[in-house]
Amino acid sequence: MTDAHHAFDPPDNAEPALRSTEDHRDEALGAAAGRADTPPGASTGLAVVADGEFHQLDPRSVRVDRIVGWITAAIVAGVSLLVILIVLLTTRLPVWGPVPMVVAWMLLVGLFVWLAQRWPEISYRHTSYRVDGFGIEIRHGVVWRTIVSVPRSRVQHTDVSQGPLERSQGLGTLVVYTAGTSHARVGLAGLAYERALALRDYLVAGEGADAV
Amino acid sequence: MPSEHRLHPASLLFVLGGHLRNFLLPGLIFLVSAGSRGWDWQVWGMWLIVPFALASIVRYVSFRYRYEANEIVVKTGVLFRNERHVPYSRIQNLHAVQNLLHRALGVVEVRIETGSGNEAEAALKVLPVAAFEEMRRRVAIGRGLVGTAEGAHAAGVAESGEAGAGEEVAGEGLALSGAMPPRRTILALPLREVAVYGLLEGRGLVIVAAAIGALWEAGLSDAITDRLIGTVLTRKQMAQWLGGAFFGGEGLVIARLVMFVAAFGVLLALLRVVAGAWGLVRVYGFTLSRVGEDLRTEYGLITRVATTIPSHRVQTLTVREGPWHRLFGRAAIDVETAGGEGEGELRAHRVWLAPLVRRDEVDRLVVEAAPDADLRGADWRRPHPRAVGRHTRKSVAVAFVVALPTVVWLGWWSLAWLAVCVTVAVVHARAYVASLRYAVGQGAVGFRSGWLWRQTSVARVAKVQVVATDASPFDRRTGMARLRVDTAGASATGHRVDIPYLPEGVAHDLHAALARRAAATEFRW
Repeated sequence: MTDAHHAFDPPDNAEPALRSTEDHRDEALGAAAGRADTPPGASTGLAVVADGEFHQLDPRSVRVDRIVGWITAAIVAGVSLLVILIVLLTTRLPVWGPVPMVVAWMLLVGLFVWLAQRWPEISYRHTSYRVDGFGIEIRHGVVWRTIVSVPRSRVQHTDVSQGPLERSQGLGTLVVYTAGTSHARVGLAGLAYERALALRDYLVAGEGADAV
Repeated sequence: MPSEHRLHPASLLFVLGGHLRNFLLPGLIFLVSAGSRGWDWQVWGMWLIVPFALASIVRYVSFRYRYEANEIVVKTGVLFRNERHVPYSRIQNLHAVQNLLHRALGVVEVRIETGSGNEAEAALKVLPVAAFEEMRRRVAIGRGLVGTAEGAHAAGVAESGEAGAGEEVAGEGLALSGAMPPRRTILALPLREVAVYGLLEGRGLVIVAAAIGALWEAGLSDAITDRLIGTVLTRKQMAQWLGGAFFGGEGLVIARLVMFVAAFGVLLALLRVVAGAWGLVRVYGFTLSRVGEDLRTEYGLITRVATTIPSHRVQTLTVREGPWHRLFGRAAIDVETAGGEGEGELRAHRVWLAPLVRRDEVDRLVVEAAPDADLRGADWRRPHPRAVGRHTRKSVAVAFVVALPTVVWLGWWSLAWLAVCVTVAVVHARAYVASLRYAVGQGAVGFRSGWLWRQTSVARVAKVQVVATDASPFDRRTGMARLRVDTAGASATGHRVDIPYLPEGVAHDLHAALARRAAATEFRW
């Protein structure tokens, strides 16, 4: 125990962050809670990641999401335009016939363009994560907000993946697998690739080094 | 080299019997339903049974198993040989089934289950009863021997303040002596209780549904309805016909409704009798006992089933109480176990801890199955006071969605139907929210819901995988949140710890506390 305490070298801000969520239940939860303040098995090098503070994603992720959004918008615009053209060419319509269709098409494309340009930013503002000695906590969702906590001791294995767009921006996606059912796979996209690797190393290091 | 064992010679009988059933039965049904059209390729397909039968004979002849120090080795095949090593420490369950014929021949069908993958690691079809007892003994001892390392580890864990693993040391310690740990009966259902079980469980419906399903499968239902009604009705026509029978035509609607309800009542009573008989046959002689670390259940009148629940693999426990249960002061307890250490599919089991138990014995059994799941002293709290309003609005909205389409058939009568739906929705919502409770204990978190069918799930903190808090826009407007506790092997449809309408602050505190407590425990399958 003393070893673990010594090895874990929390930055100054870690302690208050943990304390702030301290709550009377912990006392009710027994002796383990008291000890839980000393996170298990973190070596000095890895613990840098586990600063117990909320971090936002890499700002470049907004750019990636925008590109994806624009591509989606272009596809939607193209396909719907094609459908409209086919309808116009194959059916007999009054002179004003195309007007409502074109208006509807513009509204649809406008919505997608707006989403492509604005949504990534909004979503970015509402996404954050925190890693501490206990594990990782991910907050995301604009309309439906979700907080997911994966204790470090429950991480079965992890993936760090990179799509072509992400690779061009130096980003990566971290996926944490647990033995759970509805949350067997917890993903966090839009991290700087190096950061994703560091998080992975920290989260996986729990096994073996873990001498609770 | 340890000696090798073979299957019981009656195996051939059962394996061939199984093939015959698989091939002949569909063939017969086909012959009956196809009738006049005569023989078809499907009938000729029945000859496929020959290679299958040959394969199973080869399998029987070549099948060998032996016990090594740490594992059981199963060998099959003549040309393509396969040797499977199953370490004792991975064996989660020796599942044994004995039907009437098995019992007459003194044999038993055994499956070795390790908890990973979708199939049993090995199926031994069939073994002499004595050989099964031997296997049970060896596996128990083998697991105990492997347990020495784990036991020492667990002791270290317990010393550093972790709850949960500590209790298991005793079980593993016992097995060190090499002898079978003593067996202690925890629950034995007397005949009277078995009869009550039959009455309480409405499985008769399931049987009828299965029968209808089977008929449908066989394509016979079309034939029957043809004969009865003359034409095959589409679903819409059927609905119109039913609606017309009740609400159209002459005579009092009320009288017809009463008739209908009476007929329905008689049908239900009949189903109860069927269910009673079936329940009696199924759970006859149910016993739950503890052998070392394992819980063992055995039950069945005609087909005997014996199964093992390693208590450290219990993830969540669910106490179910239907309306009849509460009338008689009884409850049923299920446990969810999960296992496997590979990366493949997880195998989840929902098994009986007790099909029927007196209400005042529930806590004893729960603690017996998982000592850390003790919520006896815990404070069962209610959700946010404004939950009633929210849930009522939600159910009334659902009532509208359900009731409005009936305008098509019922016309103005649909207003009456709407009134009924809304009333039910309001009553249901109030009763449901009133039934919501949650509790946090030393090593577990519990959640109770349901007013007619009340279910209480208890998740062990040491088995909690992920803690998640969700807030929908409605939640945020009213300052609430929903807390979900995910464990391994939770079934998609079953009751689980998923607490809605918590005050936001409480949800966040609970979330942080649970995540931290889970992190402080080490997860062992």
